Amino acid sequence: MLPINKSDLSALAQQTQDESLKALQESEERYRSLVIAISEIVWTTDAEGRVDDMPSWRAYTGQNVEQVKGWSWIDAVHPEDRDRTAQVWNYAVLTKSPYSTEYRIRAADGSYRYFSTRGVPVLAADGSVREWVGICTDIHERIAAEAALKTRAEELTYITAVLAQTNAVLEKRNQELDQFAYVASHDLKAPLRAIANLSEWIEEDISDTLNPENRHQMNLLRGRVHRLEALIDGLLQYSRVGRVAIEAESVDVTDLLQEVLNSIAPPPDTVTIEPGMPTLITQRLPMFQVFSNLISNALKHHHSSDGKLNISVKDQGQFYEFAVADDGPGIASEYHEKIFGIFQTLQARDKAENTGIGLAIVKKIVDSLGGRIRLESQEGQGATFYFTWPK
Amino acid sequence: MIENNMTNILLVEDDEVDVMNVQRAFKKNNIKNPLYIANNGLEALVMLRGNGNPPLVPPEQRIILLDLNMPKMNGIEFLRELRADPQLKLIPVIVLTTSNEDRDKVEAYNLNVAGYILKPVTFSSFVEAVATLNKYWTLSEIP
Repeated sequence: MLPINKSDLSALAQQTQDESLKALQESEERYRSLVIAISEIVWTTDAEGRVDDMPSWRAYTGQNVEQVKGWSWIDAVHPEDRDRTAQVWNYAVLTKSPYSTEYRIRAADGSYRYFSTRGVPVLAADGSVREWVGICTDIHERIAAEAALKTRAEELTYITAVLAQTNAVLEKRNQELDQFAYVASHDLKAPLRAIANLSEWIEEDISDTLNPENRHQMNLLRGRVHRLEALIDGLLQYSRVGRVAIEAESVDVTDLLQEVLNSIAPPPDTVTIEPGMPTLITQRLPMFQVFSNLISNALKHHHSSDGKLNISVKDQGQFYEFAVADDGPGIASEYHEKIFGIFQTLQARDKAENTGIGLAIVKKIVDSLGGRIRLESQEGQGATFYFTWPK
Repeated sequence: MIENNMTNILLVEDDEVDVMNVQRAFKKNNIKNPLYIANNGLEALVMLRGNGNPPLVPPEQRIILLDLNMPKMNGIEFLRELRADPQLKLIPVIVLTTSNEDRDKVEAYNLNVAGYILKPVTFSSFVEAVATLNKYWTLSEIP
């Protein structure tokens, strides 16, 4: 065995020392880079919580060494947050427990941003605290987003309250209107009845002296009275549509159509109902009114006594499309919009007694439920009314 | 069944044409019962009580046809007064009105009316209604 000479030994020791130092340096560099990568600010304090220097903090706040020493660093914390921060930090140092809080830090340009700060004690081998290390992370965006959310929530609450109030006002208005419509129709009809009665009695009492012309005039008078009554009733009906809340129930459309036909009583074999009529949950009365009005219209305006009617349905996903088709005189296309207006008739009222409100009511009902009504017709070629009804 | 033409009928009605309605309907039905007219509740009470003089409506066998919507004292108020008066509370009352309000019906029956009839729209139906009433007060014993 060769003797190891002294210089070899010291060279080896030196080499080991150099290698250890290098490893330590690399480790420290890695650690620093890592910390910088994951946070904005790193800091250290002594075991009692006093700062000697915080280069990373100073780089952000623009403070010099004197301005951060000891407890002075707290000057860069927002005045409103200082008391709380000091309290929490003191508590952590005293109890040697992990430190975690949020506060605003003043940047070198004077602006404040929210930071989340966390610190832990570094323990020596004997369990005592050697120093504190910590990091501060910018959470300003999060805080700003939370504040914006809160504002939005408050706005929403306010708008909801306004909406509820508006609803209440609307409800009240609707009730008033309904009451008005009822009273108006009721009070308007009373003198009407009196006029009808009086004209009848006058005619009766002077029937001996009444010449044909006067008799005809009396009849016209009574006709006008009845017309006025029908108009008032029609108006009342129209005003009611969509306002009176009706409960939804299961409606078998075939049954409903049968009911409609029973009440209108057309001649036999006039109306054909195509198969495939659905059963759906909906408001029964409005549907009854729509079919009833369309069917009686078709019958009333037919030019011959053996007209034919066809009622069919098509499933269109969210809606059913019903069709009421007749082979009557048809309606010229320039009137297709007009006929849905209130009190609009296509024939002079002296030729056919007709309030002109049936289709207006149908349109209002269909519109109020979210459906649509349209007409396909040509003069002399019958008419088909299509309307959609939501499921 | 005793043939009784002596039921005295008091019509309490403010509308002149409605009064004529009743009068003509009576005529059409050949009803010969005495028909007394009061234009409102106060007048009706005076006609029933007399107030010192013999009452205008004979005190026996009285029936009242009552309208509800009248000035000064409406039908329901009149009915209350009637039922509160020991001399008058026995009189059968039939309400003849245009009001289809449940509120009115309940109130009237609470005050023991013998009937509640809605004035028909046409005169001919009114004539029929009066004919039915006539059968009633001809048949029914009235104190």
